[in-house]
Order: sequence, then structure tokens, then C-alpha cells
Amino acid sequence: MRSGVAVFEWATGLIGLSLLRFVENVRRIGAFSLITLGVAVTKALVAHRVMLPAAQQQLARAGVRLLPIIAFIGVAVGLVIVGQTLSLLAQVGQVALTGQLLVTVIIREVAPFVAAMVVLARVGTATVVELGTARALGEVETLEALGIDPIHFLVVPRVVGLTCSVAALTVYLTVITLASGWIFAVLADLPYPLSEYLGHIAGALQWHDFVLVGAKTVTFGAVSALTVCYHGLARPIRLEEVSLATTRTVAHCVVAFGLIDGFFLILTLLFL
Amino acid sequence: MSVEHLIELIAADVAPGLAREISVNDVSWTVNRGDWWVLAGPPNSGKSALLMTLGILNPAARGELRLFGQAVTQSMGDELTSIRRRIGMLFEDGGHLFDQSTVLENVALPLRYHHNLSLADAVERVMPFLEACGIAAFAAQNTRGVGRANRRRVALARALALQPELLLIDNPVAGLDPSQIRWWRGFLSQLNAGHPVLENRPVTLVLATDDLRPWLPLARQFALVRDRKLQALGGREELESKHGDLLAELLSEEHR
Repeated sequence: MRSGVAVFEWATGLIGLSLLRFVENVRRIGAFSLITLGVAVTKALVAHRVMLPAAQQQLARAGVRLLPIIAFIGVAVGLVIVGQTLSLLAQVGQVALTGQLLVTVIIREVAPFVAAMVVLARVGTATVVELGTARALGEVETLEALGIDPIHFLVVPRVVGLTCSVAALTVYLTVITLASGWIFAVLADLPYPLSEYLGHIAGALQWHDFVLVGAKTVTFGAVSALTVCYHGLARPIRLEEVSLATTRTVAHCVVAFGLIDGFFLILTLLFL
Repeated sequence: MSVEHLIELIAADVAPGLAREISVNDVSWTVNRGDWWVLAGPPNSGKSALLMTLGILNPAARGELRLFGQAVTQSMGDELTSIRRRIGMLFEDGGHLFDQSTVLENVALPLRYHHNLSLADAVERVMPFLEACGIAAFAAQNTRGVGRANRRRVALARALALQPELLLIDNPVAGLDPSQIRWWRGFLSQLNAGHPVLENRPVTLVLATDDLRPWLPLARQFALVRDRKLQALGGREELESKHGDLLAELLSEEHR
């Protein structure tokens, strides 16, 4: 009996501690985000000849360079999910549901999440290492000594780059997924003309889908970028702690993506 | 003619960034325009932390810091940036260069940022500093490929690019060969007297070192850190007459 109480206390203590840690992390990342927003607004026109190329560099790194892997994932998702869905719907004579199904699953949910995860995995983790190493080696102090705001110089371009990249890659992934799904249908000899396929999707799309996907991708991108920069930069760090910061960042971002997804799902269910 | 105080540190306790333990206690120190101070002391005695405090990178745990006649607090925002731009800072260990960039990009960065210049526009302004520091030949080279001695010169050129009035230098010649030490001694002397690259305007120097010997004939003021105290402040004569034993200890081979 006593051991049962002890286990209960241990479990509730663990849950409470995790909850407190979670709240504290949200508070810190929130404060860091507000500081970054303040710097981005107040210094929007400062040193634009330095900052614009820096933002373009981040866009190339988090966006353009990920096009091949996003294309590969798009083809895979298209063949596996869309193609099989089309095949199944055709078998039961429900191809008219294609549009609603693809809009709900692919456009609203899968594409934004997958694009955000790929950017996090390929660029986010590298950015934590890069910023954490820069912090550990004193580059941040050097910037401060040179009168350069580290948030402006290091964080703002990355937030812009990652946010725009997640949004753009989501569109790219959606197009490739839907296209490869239809190609699968053609290869499987399904009687589903392209015009009908596109018509079903266009018919299921509503204005709020564009707003929802836009808001979701921007939130995914901004939250992951700010979390990445926070873990790499905001706290004093030693070189041996960089790898730990990287794994912590991935965990925090995945939880954040889940919460953001849930938030938008509730919004959709309540208002649409 | 009145003497202009560039640095006034009043009853300050200084601790390294991540540590809680105070490394130098109760420091009161005034640096005037045109001075050349050498801050000497054993390794890990708190010299770097003190320099970081003077460079507004490490707030004092207690006390007051005034730079260029202005009281410094961390909440000053743009005022803090404008004060920092008047101070050049050279860190130990290769000068903390940005290793993803070339020598030219490293030196041009502060100038580009503060004057909103493209790299092409900054080149003309930066080259005199590279030439003065003898690193123009490496301009297009990534700093990863530059040797330790020249990395320090790159950091020096970068600090000079904003034409600072005060230069804080941390152990610039540690581990360098005699010819490099000669170069640094000569160049810093020129900077303090007025170097053409800075339009002959004298730069006030504060140099921290473990090894006092290269600087004893050159610097005009000396501060010695030992036992968490700034133990001696003054010219060489004062140092030799009042703190001869401490000076002898810091000049001895066993000290290093």
C-alpha cells in the first residue's frame, strides 16, 4: 500500500516537474521571441545592405537547397498516400470525395507538418550547432564588442529565412504530392481525368484553407526558428553542451508543432 | 588643459561571465585619454574579466563604470552601442574571428553594419587597415586557413576599422615568436602616438598580459592584479620604487 502511494507521489511529482519545466521553457522562448520581434521592428532599416544578403543566404539554405529532398518526399507521399487513396476511392465509387479528403489531409495537415519537420531536421539542427558553437567560442561577445546586435545580426535573418522557407516548401510539397498522386492514378489505369481531379480539389478548397495553411506554415516556421535560435544563442553554453541543446531543440519543436496543429484544429472545428 | 577621463571604474567588483566568484575586488581605476596602461598579473587572476567589464561585455557585480564621461548601464540600448563603437576590443585566443568568412569580410563587417555598406563599397575603406596590419595578402583567404599570429592581426584590423578612441587588448603576444612580438610592440607604440591609418589620432590603450617584459619599456602606466586586488597603479618609476617585489615576481621566469 505504502509503495503504491510512493509511486503515485513519484509519478505526480514527475508530471508536475515536467509541467513546470514546460511552462518555464514557454516563458523563456516567449520572452526571446518578443525581444526578437522588437529588434526586427526597430532595426528593420538598419544595415539593410548587410542584413538582406544574410536573409537571402538563409532562404537559400533553408529553402532552395531543400527542394530536392522535398521533391523526393512529395513524390513518396503522393504515391503512397494520395495514389492509394485515389485507388481506394475509385474501387468504392467515391472519387467525388477526393477533393475534400486531399484538402483536409494533404493540404491542411500533412504538407505543412512535413515541410516544417524537414526544415527542422536539415537546417534547424545545423543552426543550433552553428549558433551554439558561435556562442561557446565567443563570437557573440565579439559582435557585441563591435556594436552589432547579435539578435539583429544572427537571429532575425534566420527567423525570416526559416519562416519563408517553411511556407514556400509547403506549397512546393503540396503541388508535387498532388501531382505524383494523380500520376500514380494514371499509371494504375484509374479512369480519373486530370481536369476532374483538379476540379474536385478546387471545389473542396475554400478561402479559409488558404488563410489556415498560410497561418499554420508561418507559425511552424517562426516557432521552430525562434526555438532553434533560443537554444543556440540565448543562454550561455559550453562546446560540450551543444549536442544536448540540439536534441532539446528537436524535442521542443516537435511538441510545439503538435500544439500548434492542435490549436489550428480547434480553431477549424469551432469556427469553420 | 583638462584631462579627459575615458574610463572611470569606481569601487567595482568584477567576476568572469559564467562564474559567481569575484575575481577582482573593489577596483577603482581611472584611464585618461592618451594613456597606455598595461594590466599585468598571473594567469587566471581576473585580467580578462576586468577588460570585458571595461568593454561593457561583462557587467561589474558591484560598483560603477563610466566611459567617456557617461555612466554605463546595460539598459542603455542605442547609447550603449554608440559607446561600444568608440572602443576596440581584442580578445585572447585568436581574436574570435568569424571563420565562415574571409579576412576581408571579417574586417569589413563592423564598417558595413554601422555604415550600411555593401562589401564592394567597404573594400576601399578596409584595405588601409589590412595593409597597416600586414595582412593585405590574405584578404581573400578564409580565416580558417590563416595562422594564429595573423588571426590576431585580423582581429586588430577589425577593431581598428571603426577608428576607436580606446583599444582594450587581451594578451596579444602570448605564444608568438620574437619577430611577431616586435611587430606588436612597434605597431601599438605607433597607435598610441598616432598612426597614419587613424589619421595620426592617438589611441588610448589598455593591454592585459601575463608577461610584463615586452611592455615594460613601452607602456606609461601599470596596473598589477594579484590576490584579487588591483595592487599597483602608476608609472614605471612608482612601480619600481613602491612595488619592486611584486614587479620582480611578475618579471621572473617562475611566474609564467
